[in-house]
Amino acid sequence: MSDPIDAERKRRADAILDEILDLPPGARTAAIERSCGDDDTLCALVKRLASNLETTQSDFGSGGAGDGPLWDAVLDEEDRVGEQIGHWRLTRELGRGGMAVVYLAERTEGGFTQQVALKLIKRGVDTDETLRKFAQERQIMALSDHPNMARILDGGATEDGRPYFVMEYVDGIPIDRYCDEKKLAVEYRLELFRQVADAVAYAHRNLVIHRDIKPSNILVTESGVAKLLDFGIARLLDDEDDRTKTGSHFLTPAFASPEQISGSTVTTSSDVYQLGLLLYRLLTGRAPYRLEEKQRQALERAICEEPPTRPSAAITTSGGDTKTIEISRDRSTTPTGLRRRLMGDLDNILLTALRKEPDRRYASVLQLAEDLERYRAGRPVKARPDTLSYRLSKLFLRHKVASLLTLLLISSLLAFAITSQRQAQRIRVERDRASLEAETSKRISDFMVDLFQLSDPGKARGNEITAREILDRGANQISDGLNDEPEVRATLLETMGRVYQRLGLYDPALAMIEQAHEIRSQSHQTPHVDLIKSANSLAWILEERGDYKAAESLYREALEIAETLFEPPHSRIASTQNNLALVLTREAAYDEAIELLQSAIAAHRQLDPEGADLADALANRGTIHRQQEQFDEAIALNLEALELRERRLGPDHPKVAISLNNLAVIHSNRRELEEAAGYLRRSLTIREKIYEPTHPSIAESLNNLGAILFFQKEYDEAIPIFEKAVEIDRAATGDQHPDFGQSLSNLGNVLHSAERYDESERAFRQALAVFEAALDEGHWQIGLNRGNLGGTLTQQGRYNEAEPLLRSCFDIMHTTFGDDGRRTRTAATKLADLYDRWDKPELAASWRQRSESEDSP
Amino acid sequence: MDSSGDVTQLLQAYRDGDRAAFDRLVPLVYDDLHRIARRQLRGQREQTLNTTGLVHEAWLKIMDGGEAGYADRGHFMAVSAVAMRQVVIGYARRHAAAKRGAGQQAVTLDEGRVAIDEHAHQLLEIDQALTRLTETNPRLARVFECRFFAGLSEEETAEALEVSLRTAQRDWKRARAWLKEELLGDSLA
Repeated sequence: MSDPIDAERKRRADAILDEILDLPPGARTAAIERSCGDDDTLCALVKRLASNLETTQSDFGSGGAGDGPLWDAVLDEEDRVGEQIGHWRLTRELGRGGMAVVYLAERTEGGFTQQVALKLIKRGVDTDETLRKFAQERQIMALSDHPNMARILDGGATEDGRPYFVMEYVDGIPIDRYCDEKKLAVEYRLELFRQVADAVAYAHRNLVIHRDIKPSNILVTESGVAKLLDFGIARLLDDEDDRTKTGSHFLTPAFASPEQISGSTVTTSSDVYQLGLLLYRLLTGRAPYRLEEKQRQALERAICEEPPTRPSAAITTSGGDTKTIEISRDRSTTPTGLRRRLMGDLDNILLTALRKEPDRRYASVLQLAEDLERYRAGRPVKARPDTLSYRLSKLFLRHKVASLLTLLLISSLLAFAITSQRQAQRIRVERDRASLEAETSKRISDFMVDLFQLSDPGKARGNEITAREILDRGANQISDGLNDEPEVRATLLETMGRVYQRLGLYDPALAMIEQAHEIRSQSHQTPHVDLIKSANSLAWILEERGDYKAAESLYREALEIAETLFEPPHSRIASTQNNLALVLTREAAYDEAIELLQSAIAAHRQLDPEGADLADALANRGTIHRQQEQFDEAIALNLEALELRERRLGPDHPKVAISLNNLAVIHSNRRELEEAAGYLRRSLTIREKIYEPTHPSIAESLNNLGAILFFQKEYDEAIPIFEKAVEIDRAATGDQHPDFGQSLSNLGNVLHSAERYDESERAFRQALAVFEAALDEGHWQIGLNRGNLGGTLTQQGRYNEAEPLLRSCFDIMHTTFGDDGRRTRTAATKLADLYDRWDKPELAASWRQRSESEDSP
Repeated sequence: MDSSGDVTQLLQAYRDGDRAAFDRLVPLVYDDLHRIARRQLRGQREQTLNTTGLVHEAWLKIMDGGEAGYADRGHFMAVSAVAMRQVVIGYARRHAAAKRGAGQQAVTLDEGRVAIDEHAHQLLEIDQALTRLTETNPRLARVFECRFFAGLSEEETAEALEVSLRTAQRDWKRARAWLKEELLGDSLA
């Protein structure tokens, strides 16, 4: 090992360099050795510097488009024309690539001159590694002739240790230029391509992956024979270590496969992809990705994530786009003609080859070639377009699951909407209807694909677009267009509105559904089925916002229309009955609700016994059972509903979560905390999976979980959970919604139990205010909350304030639940406690009596 | 902020022999160049800097603003070379933060076009190599700065560094030989 080269030596070296600079090259060595004396290190250094001088370089200032990498631009170019390497003498330079220079070389023997291409690896590549690998890769040398491969004839290393390969010299031009110059039509391009595919397939059979298939690596001779160059060399020189060390000089980003870019395992499938790229270019004259930004990062992201442009779509037929006309002329056709040729099979073949996932492409080059052959022979090809859901799911790769589910929800809702639209218009000939449906659903699917198209890759926002943004974008699109198609517009508006609703965004939801209803009312003077739908939707959202009265009247309106239009039993009637019953339940008008639900259940059992609608009706009936404290019946119905929902809707559906939640509530009412907790956790898991974290359903689950903890006396755990739920509810529903009140009430209860009475008082007051505003006087929830507040005030010793509240509570409970209702007895107990502390023993005793009964625990 | 008045004053001072003025000039010129460069880069998709144009443009700006004489041009060029290196390397540093990659494009050094994106890493290595060269022979490094980073011609370089044309030419040869050594030297030891 030589001494490290220190600064002093370097200065001396520079001085000596200066001296010898003007000497002729031959005289330098001697002069150097003289000046250096016996300092070997110095000597070697100056010699190196001198040899650096030697390499010629045309003027730095001129010199057109030098094709070397930066190394060469800064360092002098090397020109070894005239030199002898092995058997070969270099006669001229053919070209330069990223890692090597190619020379034309010849060998004269026995009067016969053989011309070859000699590829010499440049300085700067880690040559020791390369030599080692080269020795290992003898199998490549052993490849026998294939007519479409430039055969490798020889190889070795120069005296200064640089590896080289000797290849058959191909006198030709790159394949893309060849095709364009000869104005080859699509058929002939496919022919040429087949030659290339043959060669690659052959190599794969011999276990060699090319890895660097691109137009400049494929030359076509004058006689029309395509030859693939550089075979296996890419694999030879590129290896795990090399890639990290040298930073991969060898990778041309525009032609790389996704797995090459991401550094995953490269298999023969990568060659399939690159062949796809090649064919794409040959047929369309451009690249599949928008590559206007040549910034490397954006390019790599596009290759790995952006779906390629459909080949036929790449040919614009509108307008006089000169580029397209030129491209078509190079293919001896017109833009329209070219587009038509590409549409369908060729589209699908190319897109299959260009799939991002290696295992979704053609399994082998052979299969790709076979499909092309099928196409040529007019037989059906095997390539299939991506299914819509696959395509859309790919678009959502980076989005939350919520967005995907929302999308699926939209698509199913839209599909339903369109279908029911069609069904309503009964006067259609069979044939027409079929094509209309196809067209409409295609329009819808195009709309949705557009809707969810990712924005420019250059946007630096991070990887998430929320479902909200997608919806907003879609909402705008609907508002802007479709003015002359009120039906479709109303349907889309309503559907979008329902999606907003499911996301808990009630204000925009309401606006859209109102709009839809408005449009429909104007279009239809007489009762019409669509009015039922929008009335239902509108009512539903009013209900969700807590405006129960308005919702009730709209539901009644919808029910009237339904009963006018249809004969019972009919699913529309049943659904509307169900909805009306639900809002009546909230208003505690149980009797009518029960009637409606019985009717709905009976209808559904007849019409669709496995359906989700039946589950809805059963669940709602179960809720009433629970409110009336008939727990066994409640459980039975909810279990049945759960089973139906899981089977029909799948395990991760919001309604499944609702059922689980309901069961949890029932069990907790019965103090069966373990069962309750179990159901609750399941419900929360589902909800957290499908909703954004601020969704009101999550608040509901949190409320319930908090309640369990509360019953288990885990107050410290419960308090933050309720606080979180309160916040979510406040954000989602505003501070006038009964659900918000419920959260506050729960929070108050746990604070009360934790003896934080000041805080619980605050919570209870707030909750009470909400309920008093939202519900009618006399509603049991108002009573309940008065009782809560009264209880806290009792603990704080504010007996005067507590008394009226507790009395009112008892009165309401007594009216609603009767003498023996649990809640009635609880209210009585509270009063007893009050008078105990207040030191009024007679009152206390009398209330104590009323609070007890035979089954009192 | 128009600094051309300051620049001309400092150039004057430098011309009159105040060496320290040079150091104070660099940041001012840097700002100008940086601004112009940013303007230029914003318009382009591929991030190339026409370094010669930049320097000339900056000089014109100075000329317009103040009473800078032609005699100062050389000095200005010298300062610009230093500042240009900072501009280019600054950009390179930002772009080199991205994934390491190659697949270099062609780099044409006529008109001093330096393609930044693809060569960010190489540029940084050149910068480091140049710093090492400065220890050995600072004038060679300055010549390299002028030629490569500022895209100055041989004559302009000579003018900027106040040496003869022949010296500038010889220095350029030596500078390149050293750069090659510095860039590759490690693998040979």
